[in-house]
Amino acid sequence: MKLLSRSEEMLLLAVWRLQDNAYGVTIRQTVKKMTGQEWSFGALHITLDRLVQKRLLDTHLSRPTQKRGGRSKRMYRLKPEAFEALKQVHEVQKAMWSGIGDLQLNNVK
Amino acid sequence: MNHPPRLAEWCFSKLFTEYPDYSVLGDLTEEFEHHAETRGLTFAHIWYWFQLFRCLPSWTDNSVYWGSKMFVENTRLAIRNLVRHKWFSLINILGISVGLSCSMIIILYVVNELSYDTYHPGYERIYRIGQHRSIPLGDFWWAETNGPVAGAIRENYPQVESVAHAFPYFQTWVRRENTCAYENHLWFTDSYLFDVFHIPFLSGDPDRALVSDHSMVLAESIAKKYFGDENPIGQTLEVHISWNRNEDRDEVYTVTGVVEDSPENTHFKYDIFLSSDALNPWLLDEWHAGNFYTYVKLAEGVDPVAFEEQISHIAYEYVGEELTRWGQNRTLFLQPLTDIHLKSDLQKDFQEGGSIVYLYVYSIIALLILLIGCLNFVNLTIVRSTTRTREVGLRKVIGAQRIQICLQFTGETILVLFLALAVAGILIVFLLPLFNEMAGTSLTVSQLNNPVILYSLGALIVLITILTSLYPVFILSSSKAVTALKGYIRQDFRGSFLLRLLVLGQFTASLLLILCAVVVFQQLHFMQESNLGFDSSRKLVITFRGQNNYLRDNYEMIKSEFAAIPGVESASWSSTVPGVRPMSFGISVPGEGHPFPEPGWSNPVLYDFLSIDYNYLETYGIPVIAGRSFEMEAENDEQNSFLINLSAMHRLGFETPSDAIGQVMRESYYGRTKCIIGVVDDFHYRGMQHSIEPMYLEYSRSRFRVLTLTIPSHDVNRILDDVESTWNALFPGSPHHHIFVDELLGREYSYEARAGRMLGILASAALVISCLGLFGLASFFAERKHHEIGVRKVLGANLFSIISLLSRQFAVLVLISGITASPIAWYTMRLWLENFAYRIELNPVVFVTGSLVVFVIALFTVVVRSLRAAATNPVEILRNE
Repeated sequence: MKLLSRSEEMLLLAVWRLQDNAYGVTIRQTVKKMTGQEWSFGALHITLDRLVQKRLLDTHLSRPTQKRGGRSKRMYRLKPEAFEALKQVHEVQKAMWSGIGDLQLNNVK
Repeated sequence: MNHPPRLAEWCFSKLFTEYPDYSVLGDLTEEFEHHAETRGLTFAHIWYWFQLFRCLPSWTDNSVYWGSKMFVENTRLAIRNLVRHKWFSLINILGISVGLSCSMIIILYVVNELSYDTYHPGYERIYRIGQHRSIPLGDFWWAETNGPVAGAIRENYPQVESVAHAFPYFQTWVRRENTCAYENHLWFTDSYLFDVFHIPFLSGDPDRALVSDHSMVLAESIAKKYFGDENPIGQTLEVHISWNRNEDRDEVYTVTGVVEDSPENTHFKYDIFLSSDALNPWLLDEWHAGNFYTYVKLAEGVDPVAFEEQISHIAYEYVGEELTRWGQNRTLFLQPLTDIHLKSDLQKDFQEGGSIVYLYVYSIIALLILLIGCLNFVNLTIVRSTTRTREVGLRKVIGAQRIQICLQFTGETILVLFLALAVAGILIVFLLPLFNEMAGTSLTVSQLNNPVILYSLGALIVLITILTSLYPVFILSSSKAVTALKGYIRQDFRGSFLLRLLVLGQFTASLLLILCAVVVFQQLHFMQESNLGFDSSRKLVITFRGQNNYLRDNYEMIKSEFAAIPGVESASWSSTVPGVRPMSFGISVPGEGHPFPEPGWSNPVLYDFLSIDYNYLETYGIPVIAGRSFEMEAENDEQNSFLINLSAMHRLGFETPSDAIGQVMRESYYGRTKCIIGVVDDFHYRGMQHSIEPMYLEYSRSRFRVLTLTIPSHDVNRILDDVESTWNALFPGSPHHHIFVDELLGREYSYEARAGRMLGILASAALVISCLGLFGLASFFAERKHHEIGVRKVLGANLFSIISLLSRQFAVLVLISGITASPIAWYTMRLWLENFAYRIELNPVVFVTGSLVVFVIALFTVVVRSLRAAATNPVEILRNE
């Protein structure tokens, strides 16, 4: 299986973190909090769609509420395959980083 | 509660069309409200808009990605569709590409004809000066003017940018050492010509080139012919010149310049320019003679009408007194440069132009063929798309939007059109040389690279695409998915008015072309086969040019030399031969007219003139009705005798030929009075377009220019060799020129013959395209009625009833097209036939037969297809139910 891209990895981790409260707004907030980047709605949703299409994410609509102009939320949840994929990325990263200590990284500056 | 900006929200809803649940808009609204509470409404608004702009890059990226994905898919589908119905696609592509290539070639031809003389900078300000002469003999509009006109205009009219004249001296021989050849277009002129016309110099100075005495400027190819790779500047050539009947000589000219070869698309073709100082000085100053062609380029902003008015009576300022005394009215007029090739009908013109009428006709034909091809394409494509309702239905079920279905059909049309364009391109490359040979043109494929042609081609493709896409777009894509899936869309041919109209139009157009072609061929055949009143077969004509010194004294010897060639049956001198326009002179009869030019004689009237020797009538088998022909022994025949033809006899007012014998006439040009000794029967010395004019014949040796030899039909090559060696013995070093009378007469009809061939080929192309279309339609309906045929056969229908079921509706249409096309063809052809003095009568039988033949061909096409359908075993068909 192809490795996840950096942005896909970030979104999957954000959804994981948010557990049952993962939808557009919260995902965006989480990503911003963790990385400082503010994603555009377009980029966010296109990537989420791609993950759904790759069968890594499950999605369903919540019940509409009075807030948000009466519109329902599109909630996301990880599928088992997503955990596999994340694990794989993590393994690769660990392998790539092994032997390169914090000290050496700091010395680069 | 605050509401996000509605416009931005609307944009978002359009951007995220994949989310019909509006969850994204919900997300946005939630954040908007959050911002509005914490940081104020204004900030929230700005934030919202900002989000919209941030989305644009990734949205564009995404839509391009999916767009191209769909494009690839649709292309693949289109190709699959083409391949699956390969016969259908072949007919479709072939039909439109034949139409396209035929019409493109004609358009090329038309554009080329229209481009004549437009390459000169400021061509719309260039005019040729013609003159209108009104003299007692009649009114004449001449393309030529006299020598002093150009100079007079140059001196007196500052609104003229430049003015030049040229004196044609066509077809004389040019010699350098051992190279000697006839050259066609020689002009005596001066350097002013290079100011009026765009004639680029390769070497030499345009302003100085023709200034020095006896200098010349050569076209590049001529320079190459005589000098090879040498530098021609400063070298000399001998040009054979003869100014009157009594003298001729080789004049030596020095080359002072080389210019580019004359383009094809000019009326003013040139090979060699000679300095005009070599002309007789009196020619340049004579107001009453000299055939100069004068061209004037007006300065910018000068009104040509006013200028024409000013110069019209310029001759009166110089020789007004004489003109008045002679009762002559002479005015000058301007002829736009671009009118010369196509619209000029002036007399004394050196060029044979095309005809704007034929050009219109060709354009109309091109449009017709194109129309037939396109109608075919539209027809077949529409019919094809109706079979795809199930496909459309399924696509709709899967979620295709209307626009996507439209795009798919349009895309397929465009793909087929581009394939057809490619095929048409290949066809053009192969057909163009054939066309050039037929039409005597030298068109090249690269001339297609013309903005007018390319733009109209582009417009055409767009138009066809729109037309063919209309049906799928409006009918198919709007149908409900369910009905479409059931495959139910009204597809009966009888029900589709549009389809019927298209087939009708197609066959009317091709039948029109065919009927016209038949009439043109009939008229051609009539002209070529009808009795000319003389025997034109086996007549070899030797033309003498410039051998005047020698001819004058030796014509009898020359004649006997050629007559002595073994096999030559007779030899005869004359001034011209049939197929060449004769000269004409004024003839007066005793009586009282305007007392000019001679009291006691009537006003002169123009008669055609022919000078012949004593055995000319015998050679050509022209019968003498009354009196006698010239006789060898009768010495005074040359001084005292005229022959006239029957038309002349009628014009002179004699009842019977014998009345005319012994009457006197006066030839006004030389002022000679002679007696009529005989009347000859009328004969067609020109093509059948021209009526036989009154003519008088003289025995005048000084006008003998051509020798006619009657030769046997066998052994032609040996005799031609003998003629050449006899010529070389008599005139060593000068090239000789011979032609057959039949060939000359054939040239009279070359324009009509060309038109006939073009029409014939185009008409066949039109018929083929139409039949291809009909075949396509027939196979489509045979397929549609598959089951009906099967059921009918099971119920006991015979072959004939099934064929009639399939072909009836087409047959009726083709018959109707015969009824619509015939009157149009009748009317057009009657107009065309009026160009001919001698013509066929239009015969209704031809029209009926023509329509019937087309009908049979069309019926055959349909029946061939129906037979296949009718012959299939019903079990094969119905098994699949």
